[in-house]
Amino acid sequence: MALALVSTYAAWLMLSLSMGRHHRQLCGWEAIGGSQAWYRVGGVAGLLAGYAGCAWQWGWSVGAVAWCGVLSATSLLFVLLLAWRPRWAVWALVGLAGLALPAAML
Amino acid sequence: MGGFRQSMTWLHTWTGLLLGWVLYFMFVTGTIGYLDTEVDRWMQPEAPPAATSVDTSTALHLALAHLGTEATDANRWFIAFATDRNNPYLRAFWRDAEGNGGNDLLDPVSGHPFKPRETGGGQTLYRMHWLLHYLPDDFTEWLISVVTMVLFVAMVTGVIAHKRIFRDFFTFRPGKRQRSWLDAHNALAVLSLPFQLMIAYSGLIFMMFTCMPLIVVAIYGAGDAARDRFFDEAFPGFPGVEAAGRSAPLVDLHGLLATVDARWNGESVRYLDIYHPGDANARVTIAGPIGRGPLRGSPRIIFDGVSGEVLEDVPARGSVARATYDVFLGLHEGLFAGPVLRMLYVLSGLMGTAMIATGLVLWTVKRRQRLEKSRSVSVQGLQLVERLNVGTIVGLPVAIAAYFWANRLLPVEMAGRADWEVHAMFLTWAALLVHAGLRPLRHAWLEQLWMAGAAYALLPVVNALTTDRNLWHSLVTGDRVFAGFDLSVLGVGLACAVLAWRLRGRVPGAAASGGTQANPSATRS
Repeated sequence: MALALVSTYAAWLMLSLSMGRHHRQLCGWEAIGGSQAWYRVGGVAGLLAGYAGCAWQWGWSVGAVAWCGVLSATSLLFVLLLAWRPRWAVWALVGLAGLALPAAML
Repeated sequence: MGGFRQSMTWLHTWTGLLLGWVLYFMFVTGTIGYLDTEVDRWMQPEAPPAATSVDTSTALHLALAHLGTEATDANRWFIAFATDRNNPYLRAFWRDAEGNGGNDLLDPVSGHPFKPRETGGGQTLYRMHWLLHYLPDDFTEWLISVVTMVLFVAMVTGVIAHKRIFRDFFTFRPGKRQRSWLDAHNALAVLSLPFQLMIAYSGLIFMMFTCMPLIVVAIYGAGDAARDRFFDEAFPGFPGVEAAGRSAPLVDLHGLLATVDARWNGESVRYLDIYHPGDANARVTIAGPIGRGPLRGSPRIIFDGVSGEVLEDVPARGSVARATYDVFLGLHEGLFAGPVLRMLYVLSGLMGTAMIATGLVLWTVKRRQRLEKSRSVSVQGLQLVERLNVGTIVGLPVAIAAYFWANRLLPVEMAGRADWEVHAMFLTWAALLVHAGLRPLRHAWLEQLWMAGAAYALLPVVNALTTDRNLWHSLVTGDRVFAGFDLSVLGVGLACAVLAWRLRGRVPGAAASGGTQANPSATRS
């Protein structure tokens, strides 16, 4: 669950960084040529890692249901932050990881 | 492609508008339905804390003792065990040949029945999701079938009409009127699209015997008898044997439990269904766990109720078609979901609700903006939609709060109490629709939002004043259901109040032109 939350949030962040408009919004400068493809690859990998996390906790079938829910939850959080507090959108990843990973280890 | 997309947009706009309010009602009540038993428990504060860890054979012993004294001449006994949140209490149900009987919740320790206050509970709200209320069942079945179809059409046409799903995936630009409402509508739909498509499609599967009755007719023939025969074959339920009329002692049920324990590796038994107890033709059906996945069937074993011989062993998974049907229905209902997954279901439901609400508001904002550019738009139609939007989008949640208030404030001994809870809800809703029609639009939005804020935020206070299970007590004793309910309604109330506070200067659908909102045509005359 923690893995799924953190990796899908990171995936949304990377996928948005691969888009020029959002890259400016998040970083304030233009993306360096060529980096966009890597962001996209990383984003897709993050989404898949999210499914792995869900399947690990719930099994492959219920995990798929949970994955859809996690994708909605993290993307909603990300879009809201991006609209109102773009800088927080990056720091939220650190916060999410800081909260979720220790919680998962307990 | 442009013409095609345009016609899809047209279809999306008008189907969505026409049935949007019914869909909003279905999404709100359906989302609450994911928390139905939790709401049930909050609405019956006299009930003891649920104890789902009680050993099955002890529970069976208590239930049999109760049925043995209360239901000696019944021809059916039904014992449901307290297994999880779907079934929090041990329940004994019975019926006699005339259809009279009882349905008691039993204390998990003493086995005595407890009689909490009469209430519709979360179940009534949940049943409104597909039965609405006050309307004849045949009519609602058709209405809901059509509405579900329209939802599915609206989802598909919406995806086609949305030109840039991927490019605008993360796009939400607040503070730009029509643009913002469109962004919000798109984002809410796209970000929760798998859930919304699943709900619309599986909703149709729920209604398939209503929308497509001719397929059954083609094979089984027309008429009620043929229809019944189809359902008996497709959903084999209960052993159809008549009582023999000779008495014979009921087999030792504890022994049967041991048999199923061995077959199902000790997984929890959900219920025992006993036909003709004490008769020579007694039949006992024992149902196993509903499963940890979306396949909602559960295995059942039917025993001879005298000899204890296994007559039939029905697996959870039948034919492929039946399993497909069960998986879609299981996904829709989410009975298998644990706490975390249940929260995700609720969040997805809320996103769907907000998707419909933003869609309805978007329709008015768009036309209001056109009107300002003095293009011809029917003002009466626009005003009607604006009023219905306020009275439904905010009015319905306030009405549901009234349902909860009525649960706490109506006298506990009152006759017809459960009915009056529902009347309170619909009377409140009617009053708010009238209010929305009479007040200037911006006042209607603000006043109803403040009402919603107060109605929800004060619910924990009402609860604290009328029961001894206040929020502090719930937090200290770790009562998750009560604390969860109180904190959730508090959150909803505060959210409405914050929204009202932030909107005090401006209002959806209305420009900053203030007092002319009630009569926009006046500005040009």
